[in-house]
Amino acid sequence: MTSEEYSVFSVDEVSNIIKEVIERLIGNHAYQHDQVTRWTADIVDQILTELTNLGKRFKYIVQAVIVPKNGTGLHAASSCYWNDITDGSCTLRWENKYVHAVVSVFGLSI
Amino acid sequence: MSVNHSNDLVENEAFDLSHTTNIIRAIVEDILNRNKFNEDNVNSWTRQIVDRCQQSLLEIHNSFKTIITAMIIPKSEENIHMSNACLWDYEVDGSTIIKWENNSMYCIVSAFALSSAS
Repeated sequence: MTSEEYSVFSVDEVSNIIKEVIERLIGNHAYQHDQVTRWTADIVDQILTELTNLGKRFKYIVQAVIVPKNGTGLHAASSCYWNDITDGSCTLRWENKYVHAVVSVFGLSI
Repeated sequence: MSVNHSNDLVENEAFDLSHTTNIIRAIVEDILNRNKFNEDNVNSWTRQIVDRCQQSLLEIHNSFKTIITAMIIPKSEENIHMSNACLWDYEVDGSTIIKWENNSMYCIVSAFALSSAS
């Protein structure tokens, strides 16, 4: 199979997209209770838009969790049943002074 | 009522939402039960939850690619914000999110099933 016939999930490409979107939307903004819900929704929407613009034949799941920093932790695990060759995921942990964010993208080839 | 004889009926099996939701809820209840949140066990719990959910999902939907995520957060006064977005075939693919809690912690499990056929 040549590379034109199927796409392979690119962790670097996706990681850059996630980073850019978070920086753009949250950056160093202070935690504002009424904004966080909006941030979380905007993050996943904008990441999904940019992934779609890559033009690869993939289905995508984007998940974002934001918790304010106050000492309590967040413990997460994930499991994927997919095609090892073409499919992949990228999880980015990001923080500023006020919040922890964990954003995951799962890409499954069609 | 008409009977549809079509190969598509077998190949384009759709996601069974309520069955999946019930199974996952039962798994979380079984693993976490009335346990108190503690750092030593939490990683093992999240691991067990995703592994068992994955196994069960495969038994129901073996032609689907599946993603399971599980989060355990100790209860505090702060809010947790979570959002998902999916690009998929809405006719056959599906997801469910289970929010579970006891006195000391929240557990959120997301399960996504995506048909390999579309």
